[in-house]
Amino acid sequence: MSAGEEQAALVPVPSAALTKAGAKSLAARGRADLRVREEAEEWLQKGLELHHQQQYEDAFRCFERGIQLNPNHPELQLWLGNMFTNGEGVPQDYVQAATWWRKAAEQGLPKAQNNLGCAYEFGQGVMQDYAQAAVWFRKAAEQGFAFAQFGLGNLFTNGQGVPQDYTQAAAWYRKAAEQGDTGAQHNLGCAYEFGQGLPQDHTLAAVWWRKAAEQGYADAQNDLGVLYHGGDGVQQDHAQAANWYRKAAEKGHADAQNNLGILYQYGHGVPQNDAMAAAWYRKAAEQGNAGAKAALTVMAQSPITLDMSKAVPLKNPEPRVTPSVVQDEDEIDLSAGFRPLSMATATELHPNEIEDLPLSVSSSARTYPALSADQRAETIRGFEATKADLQPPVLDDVSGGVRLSRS
Amino acid sequence: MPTEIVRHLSPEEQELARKRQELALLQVELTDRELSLANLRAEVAAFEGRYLREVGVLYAELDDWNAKIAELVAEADGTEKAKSAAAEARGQAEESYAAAHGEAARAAEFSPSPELKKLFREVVRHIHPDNANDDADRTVRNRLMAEANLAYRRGDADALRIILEEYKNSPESVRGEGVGADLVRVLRQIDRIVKRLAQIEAEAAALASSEIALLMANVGIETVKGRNLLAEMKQDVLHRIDLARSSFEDQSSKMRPR
Repeated sequence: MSAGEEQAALVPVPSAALTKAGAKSLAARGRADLRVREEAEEWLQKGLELHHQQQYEDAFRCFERGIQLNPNHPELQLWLGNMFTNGEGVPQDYVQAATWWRKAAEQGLPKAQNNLGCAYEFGQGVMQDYAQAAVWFRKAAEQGFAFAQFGLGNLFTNGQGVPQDYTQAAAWYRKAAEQGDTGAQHNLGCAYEFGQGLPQDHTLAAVWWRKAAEQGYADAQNDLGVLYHGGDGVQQDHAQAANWYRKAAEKGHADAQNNLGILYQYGHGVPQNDAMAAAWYRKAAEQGNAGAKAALTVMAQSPITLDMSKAVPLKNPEPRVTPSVVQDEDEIDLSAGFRPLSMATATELHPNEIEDLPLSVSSSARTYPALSADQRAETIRGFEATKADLQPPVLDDVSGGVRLSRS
Repeated sequence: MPTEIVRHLSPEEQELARKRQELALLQVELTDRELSLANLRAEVAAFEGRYLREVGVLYAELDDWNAKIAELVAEADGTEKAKSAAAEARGQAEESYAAAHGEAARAAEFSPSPELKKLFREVVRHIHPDNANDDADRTVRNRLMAEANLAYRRGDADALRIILEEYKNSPESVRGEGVGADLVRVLRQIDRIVKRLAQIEAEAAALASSEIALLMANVGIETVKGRNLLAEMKQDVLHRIDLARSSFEDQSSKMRPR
């Protein structure tokens, strides 16, 4: 027996299978898969970095390289969907976008579930289907994703894809609102304002509208202005009303422009100024605001003194308010849509009618469901700009060219 | 035994004393190295068991679905190419199954207590074959050492104690006499231990660079960072199984009407 053989005999083999090809190859396979997945992850990070620098074509190429390595990477699937939706680095293609989002959504990625929900809500790349939108929003919402909670709340408010249920809507709005989602804060305020799904409470409406308003959300700024204007839920304060109207008006919010015009016309909270009033009415009217159009007509017809102009419009406000702008909205929304001006005017001239025609109701009612749709549209146009995504890529984690170039 | 102080040591005796000292140091080192190697082997085997049970079985399942798909295609297609692809896929699935469900997959977790380590060190010190006096002794030691390794792997302290007792009581443990014979024996022992140390180093290096040990190291590093790599691997293969299953179901439902 040679020394070598002796030694070999001595060496015990606690794991006999360690030397077998099978187990070895399973370990090798696991490691190879790991390497491939890590490389895909590096492409994702590189792509995110490039996307952040708005180098969309290079970013898209990175995402493509990544997905070739790991076709099941949910983040890569999400981002390919986003790129196709926004036409970044690739021709816009909603069908492709929805296909990628579905893959990621089915793997449980909340952002992708939300985006797929949006695709169904708007029929972008898929047949419009509110029930499916609700299904996907709910999956993301239950994972705490604020946008989806807001979206699901809107479907419950509008009874789209789910039976109309204001209580559910308010509950979802609250979840999102507590996470700082401005749209949800606004709509939760609306739910309080109208007592939809919650006991009516103007003070709480003001609280939630203020949160959204302070974050620059124009609808909430206008609506908070309306509360100050009428003294609902807050101490009446025309100067504050003007302040909030102005913030929203300067962002191009038609209702706020109209409402600011009213304050100028009657010198409430601001020095009386017909020229300023007309200027703001015009801006609102250009956007089709019926109340502002009516007010302009009246102002033009009554080149009278200030006191007279105050008196004239309100004698017969209704006939002025028959624009066709909101014709595609249902009847209730229609009346609500153009009532603000007349009510505001009424407020000015017939204070005793304020309670019957609260300014706030109309302006908010118009924005309530319809606005949320606008908000969703904005979201779907710019998914990449969601709060989570706005965070710049962590450069330490980004591989840069060096690690990626190794093969 | 020439261990007592002798007034005039012959050159042979002096050489023997030096070599005995050298041997003693090497024996300590050998014991340490054998213990480290045994620990590494056991650790890797335990990790391999865990990996095969958690992830390996899923690869086997994935390969089974892929084989089923290939067989479905072969059935529909009927070409030799499709048939051999199916046979190959089935072979791969069988190999993966055998590997994932084999003996290695049953390796238990390994976490030796300090007492067990101490006991095993004692056993190695006493019965390491490279400390043998002669070939007969060496044969006994070889057998006992292999048993001890297995007992250590099992965490079986009682078995280690029995092995130690058995050796101490064996007639082979009694040493021979004569300075010349002793020197020859000591030199041979030194030679063996040096060779064994090199061998241990080579085995440890080979073991550490094996796929399973590299994977183990990888998992260990990520665990420190708070990441569960095994769970991620599991998730990945599970997802691929889902995709393969639905692909199989799609294809088989398409074929059924024919």
